[in-house]
Amino acid sequence: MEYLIGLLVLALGGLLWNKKRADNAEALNQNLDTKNKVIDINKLINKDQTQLEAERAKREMLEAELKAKEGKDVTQEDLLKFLDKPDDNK
Amino acid sequence: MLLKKIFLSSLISLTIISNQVWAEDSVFLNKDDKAPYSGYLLPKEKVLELRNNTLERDTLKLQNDSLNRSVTRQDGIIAKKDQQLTLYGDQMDKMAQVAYSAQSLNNWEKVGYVALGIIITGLAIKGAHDLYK
Repeated sequence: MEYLIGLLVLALGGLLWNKKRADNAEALNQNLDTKNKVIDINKLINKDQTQLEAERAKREMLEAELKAKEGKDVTQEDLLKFLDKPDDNK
Repeated sequence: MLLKKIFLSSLISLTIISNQVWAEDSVFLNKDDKAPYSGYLLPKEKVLELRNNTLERDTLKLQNDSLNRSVTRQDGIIAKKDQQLTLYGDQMDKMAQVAYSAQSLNNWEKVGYVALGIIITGLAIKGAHDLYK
């Protein structure tokens, strides 16, 4: 009888310990899953940030090009070409 | 015969018109030069201004396109950050659940240890009692 009670207590302890271990493993997996998802999203955000920087650089380049075009000495040929085909003068 | 006449006259008219268009390209005139055809005469400064304004317009158009693309990208970044926030929120909820479950498990553990102590003590007393018998 005493042995049976001892075994029952052992089995109960084992079940509790197993459940705790399983819960911990599940929580750890969920944590890892979330961490991986966040890392993936961060990569996409970094990609978007790079594109934003590229667009900003492009705008600055356009501004510089405009200043260079406006600042340079314009020849008579340039002006005639512009008057005939203004869209080719970009 | 009539069709042939119409065709020929159309062809000749078209040829004359296209020659005229080709002939009316912009030309540079010095003062007192004879104008080759009727048209508008602009001083050099005005043409320069017109050219610069056109260049500026074209640049602004391209910059505007670029800004629109940037706005779209920014919206994308905001959406992704929102997604991250949702993930963090969900994770915090899950962790709170795990923490609560661990705490309640600890309470059960305490009850288990007390029960184990009682049982072991009882068994020891019973064992001692059997020995003295």
